[in-house]
Amino acid sequence: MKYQLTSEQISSKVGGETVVLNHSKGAYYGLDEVGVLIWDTLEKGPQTIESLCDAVTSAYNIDSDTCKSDIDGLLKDLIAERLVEIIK
Amino acid sequence: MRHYTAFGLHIHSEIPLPELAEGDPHSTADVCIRTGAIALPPMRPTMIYRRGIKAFFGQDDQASYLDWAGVASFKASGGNELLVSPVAADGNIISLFTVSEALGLILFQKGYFLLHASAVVLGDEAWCFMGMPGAGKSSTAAAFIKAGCRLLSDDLTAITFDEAGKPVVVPAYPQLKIWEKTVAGLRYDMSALEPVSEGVNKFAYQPREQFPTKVIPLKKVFFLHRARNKPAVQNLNMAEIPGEMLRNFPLPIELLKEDSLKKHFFQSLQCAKSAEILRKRRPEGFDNLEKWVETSVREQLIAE
Repeated sequence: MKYQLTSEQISSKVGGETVVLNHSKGAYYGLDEVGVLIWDTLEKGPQTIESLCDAVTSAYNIDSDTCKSDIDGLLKDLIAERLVEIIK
Repeated sequence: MRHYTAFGLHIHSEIPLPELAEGDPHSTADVCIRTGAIALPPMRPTMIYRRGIKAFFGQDDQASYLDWAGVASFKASGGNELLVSPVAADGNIISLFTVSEALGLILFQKGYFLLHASAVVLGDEAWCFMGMPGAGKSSTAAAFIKAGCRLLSDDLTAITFDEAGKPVVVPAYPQLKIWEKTVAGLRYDMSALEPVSEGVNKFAYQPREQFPTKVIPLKKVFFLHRARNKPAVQNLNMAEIPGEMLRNFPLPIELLKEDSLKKHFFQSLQCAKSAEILRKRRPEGFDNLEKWVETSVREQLIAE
């Protein structure tokens, strides 16, 4: 199972921050530091939760179980807002 | 044909638009304003009011339309053709409605980034003031002008981006409308003001001589409010900026869909890259407003 950015979103980086627009909803979102790292990784193409977790654990001192559950929570939020979708 | 300049454009018009600066009769028209009958497509109510009249808006493949009951309807196409179908007999009223949202449709078609805001020049910087009606956009601009700053725009502010991608404010036209109580509060010289047809308690300051002719770099954007429970001044989070800009979009919101909404999003953040975007409580009373203005002008001159 992989995650990818939907076609309903666009994003822009300003001064180290990433701002996301869901243009079919007209809603705007800001991402925190880890959120930006996940987002940047997803921008490279579809990712598994493991590959996202690798990106985070190589940048932050965090064990992979905690990391996975944090990422899982974030992905659920992003999916709920139609910014990310699941592909097989 | 009459010839004007506004928003950096040569405008040739069949109707008089006395608010605008006189233009060069030998110029090539960027925008033509003509009168004629308009067949309106299905129209929907908007949240836009002028003189207490609600605007209706519609679109088809070729144009955008505005209809103000009892005043006029407008058809804007191609970013260069504005057709006016007047209903009201008073030419000043027709002009007022032409140079506001209707001309705004043309500017939007030209790709300008538009804000419901007033703007002034401090030294070599453009400062822009936004806020809900009554938050004090025009009064704040009036206070800066009294302190020696030049006017750029009132009500409708148009921003473009220079070759380096930096936001610049395009001088609109030399008119600032101020409330009678602001005239008194800031001790404006009444003899230098004109009464306006929009509301009885409003006056127009028309700085025709000192009006800027070149674009000015946008450096500060203020969202003015009167809420005591919010800080006196704070920077907006990046993620709040596109939404706040959208709330201050001066035209029917239906114009911002898909590609045009994406463009608005990028333009909002493009402004935020070069300009400080602040939420500010409007100083209470005219004395405090003038104190803030004096301090800002002084600090800006030192910084220069």
